[in-house]
Amino acid sequence: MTTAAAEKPVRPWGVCAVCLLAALLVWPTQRFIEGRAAAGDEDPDILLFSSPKMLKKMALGYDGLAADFYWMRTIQYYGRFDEADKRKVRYKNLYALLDITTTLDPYLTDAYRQGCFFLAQDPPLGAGDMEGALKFLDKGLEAHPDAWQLMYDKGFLHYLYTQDFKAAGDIWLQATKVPGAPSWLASLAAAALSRGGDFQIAFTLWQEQYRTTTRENTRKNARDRLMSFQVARDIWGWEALADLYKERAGAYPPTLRALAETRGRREKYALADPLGTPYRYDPQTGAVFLDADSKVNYIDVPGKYKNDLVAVDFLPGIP
Amino acid sequence: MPIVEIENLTKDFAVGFWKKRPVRALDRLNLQVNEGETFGFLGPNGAGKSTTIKLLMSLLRPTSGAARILGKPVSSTAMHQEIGYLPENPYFYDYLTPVELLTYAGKLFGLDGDELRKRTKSLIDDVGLGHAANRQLRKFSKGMVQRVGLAQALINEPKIVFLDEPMSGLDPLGRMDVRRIILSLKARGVTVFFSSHILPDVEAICDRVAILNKGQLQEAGKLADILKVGVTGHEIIVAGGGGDVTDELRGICEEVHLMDDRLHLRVKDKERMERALRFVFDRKLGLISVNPIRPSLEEHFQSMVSAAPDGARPAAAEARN
Amino acid sequence: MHRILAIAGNTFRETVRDKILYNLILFALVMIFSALALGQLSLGNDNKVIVDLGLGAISIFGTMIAIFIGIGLVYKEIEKRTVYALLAKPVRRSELVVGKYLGLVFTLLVNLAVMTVGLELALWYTGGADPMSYLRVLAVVALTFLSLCLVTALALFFSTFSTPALSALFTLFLWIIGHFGNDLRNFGELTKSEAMQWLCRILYYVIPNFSNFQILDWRYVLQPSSENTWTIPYAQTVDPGMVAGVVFYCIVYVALALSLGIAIFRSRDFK
Repeated sequence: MTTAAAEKPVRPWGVCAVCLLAALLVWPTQRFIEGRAAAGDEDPDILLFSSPKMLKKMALGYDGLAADFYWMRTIQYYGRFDEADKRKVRYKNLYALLDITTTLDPYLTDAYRQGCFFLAQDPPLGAGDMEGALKFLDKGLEAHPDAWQLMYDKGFLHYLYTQDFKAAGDIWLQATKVPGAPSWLASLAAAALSRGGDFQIAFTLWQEQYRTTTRENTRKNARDRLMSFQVARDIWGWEALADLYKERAGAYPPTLRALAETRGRREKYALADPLGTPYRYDPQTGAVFLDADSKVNYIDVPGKYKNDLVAVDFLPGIP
Repeated sequence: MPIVEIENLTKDFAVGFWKKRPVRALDRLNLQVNEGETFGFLGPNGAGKSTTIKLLMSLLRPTSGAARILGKPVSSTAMHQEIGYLPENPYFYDYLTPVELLTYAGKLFGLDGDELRKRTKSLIDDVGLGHAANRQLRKFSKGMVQRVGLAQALINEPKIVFLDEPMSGLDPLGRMDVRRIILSLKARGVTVFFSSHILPDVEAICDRVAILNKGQLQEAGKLADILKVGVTGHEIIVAGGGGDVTDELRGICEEVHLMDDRLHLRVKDKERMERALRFVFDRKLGLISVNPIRPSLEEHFQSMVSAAPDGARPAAAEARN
Repeated sequence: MHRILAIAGNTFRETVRDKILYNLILFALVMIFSALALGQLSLGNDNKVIVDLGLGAISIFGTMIAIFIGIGLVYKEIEKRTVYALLAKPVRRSELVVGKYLGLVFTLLVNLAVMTVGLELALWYTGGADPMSYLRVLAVVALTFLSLCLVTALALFFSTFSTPALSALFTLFLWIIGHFGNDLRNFGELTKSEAMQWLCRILYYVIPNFSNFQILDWRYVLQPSSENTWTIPYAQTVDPGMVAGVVFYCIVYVALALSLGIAIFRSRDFK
């Protein structure tokens, strides 16, 4: 400290150079740290706080805000499949996260309406936890006894996922008694109780979900379901016609178009799937199937719907 | 007519963290200041000067005794309308400019509008801050803050101002300015009560002084009266001389110094002075001056402070005109 | 009165020239606008996120401003000895405390206005909110303002006799446990000891109950429209009697805190 060098003025490019150097060093260092961390045998799928009531206290009255953060966390947790694959137990904490969210803010009702599907859907779309989904909806109904919307969702789960038409019809019937519930619930309940397994009910449910959901994944899933119904009806319809043709002509028609032309007028079945790719046809066996290049994500339609589906004159399109 | 009356004013402070014990900062002070006077309040650090002024400003509550300013008790808010105060080592809101500070101070006195603007401007000019009127106080030197402090103490055109160490921290020019301001206040008939330990300033401008030490009043009165107490001798200055003259004079005078071809002689009594003067005339030495030697305020102050026994209360403490 | 206003005006100037204020406001605005991005992660609940986060940020940062400026107001006057020149003027000590209080309250009002404009803009940017929502936000912010008035009075009270660090600690502590009032009462009812029950009961009434100021939230602001049948009803209504009670509660507490603060400040010696 004998001689102090004269202070030099700070040069902007010098500052930039230092920043750049630091950035170049930080990046690999952080990568290195991450690499070491990944090597560790730690389950990242843990909840820091698992008691919703304690969290509610800690929120100091800012419960709504805390609920928002947990809800967004839930969506992140649920929505990131790539990350989900790394987890040892898939969606282990999904129920806990939803539980915390709805305890913090019972009026964040979207959490019930969406969350029950996160829980119910089969992997990889959801946790495949039907029991949890129903329990969760019951919690919602406890907080909102007059929410026919939640009853509708519960019936939906029963009808489409557990195929328990009786339970679905009962809850829908119960929902009709709520003041302000839409009238179509009554016909839905009646149909479920009298004609359980009718494809019309399933189709209506998916249609309703497709129309009302705000969640892209759910909407896409409903759309796939609805398109699958279209595809199944077309395929089964053409195959039945091909069989009829063979009975009369002794052989299957050479092409689908030829088959269609023999029908003369416009046929009620389409030659291409709802997304425009023509169906493939095997003249040897009379089988009709989706083209490998088809953009439709076909989800198997139960064979029990076959007769009803083929017989129906018109199936509403998907907007 | 007394404008400040202090009767048996006593203040104890409790010191110590666990076991509080009282320490007497001011002990039965009796003092009066007359209207129009410039009153100097002297004493070494810790003598109780600031404590007295803070008691007068009602910043401290007395342990016993009482004080009145303008005939009203010091706790009266109305009385404060008529007085000005500059604290010791003042510090003001450093986010304000002098103009803002003076405007704020003026508003507290109920001033407003053009009158306030006019007073603010003229006071800022008076204390020599015209160039910095709109600069934040955080950039001010100690001397500049002192000047702002003086200005804010005068915004209400007070009848009496209390200045606690107004000269401290100022350079010689600043001290001259403060001295000039005090003299102009005096010329306008404003009573000035100020404490200081810078004695030449006090000597130059005060009508009366009080000397405080260890919480007790040592002396109070006109400066001339206090200093007249003793002419301790005479100083004779003579031109020329040398050699045997010097030696002979040494036989007559107590002290003889040769400085720059001049002899400085000191004699204590009249008899020696006459002998010395006769000698000067006989030898036809050039007489330059004969002056009585009286102690300066500084010397007087020193002797008084060092002589005061602890806890004793000299009779002179009863300040009367 | 003109003296109180002069002191309040100067306090406002003091706080407005304080850098901590701008840091906190800026941070609150960043929070509010980040709700725009966060809301998109909420599956159609973005207005709820904006309102929750916006009102939360206004309340929390308003409280921080009230505490961190409030604790210094009187203490700084004493510590920096500016109080000497002030009290030598015809100013009562009570006027100083009240003036300082009103000055900071006015600062808080201006801050809340800035932050509320930020929230309204965020709400407007996402759209979809009922036009009445913009007005209803003001009602919730008004309640928040009352809570800030109380926090300020507490901070000022502590600062008349303790250091800023301790005052901040005391005020923050009271603010936090002030949200647990009901738990305190419930705890008291659960214990078997008579003395403990009384202690809890006394504490319940002594500690300011900050949950009183949280009676309105997003449910009040974003009332569901009757058109969308898929929304489960959640509307929150205002009970005028309760609001009047909360206003009165706030006035009583502020008056108490300020009176105690004045009493302590008046008995102080300024060495």
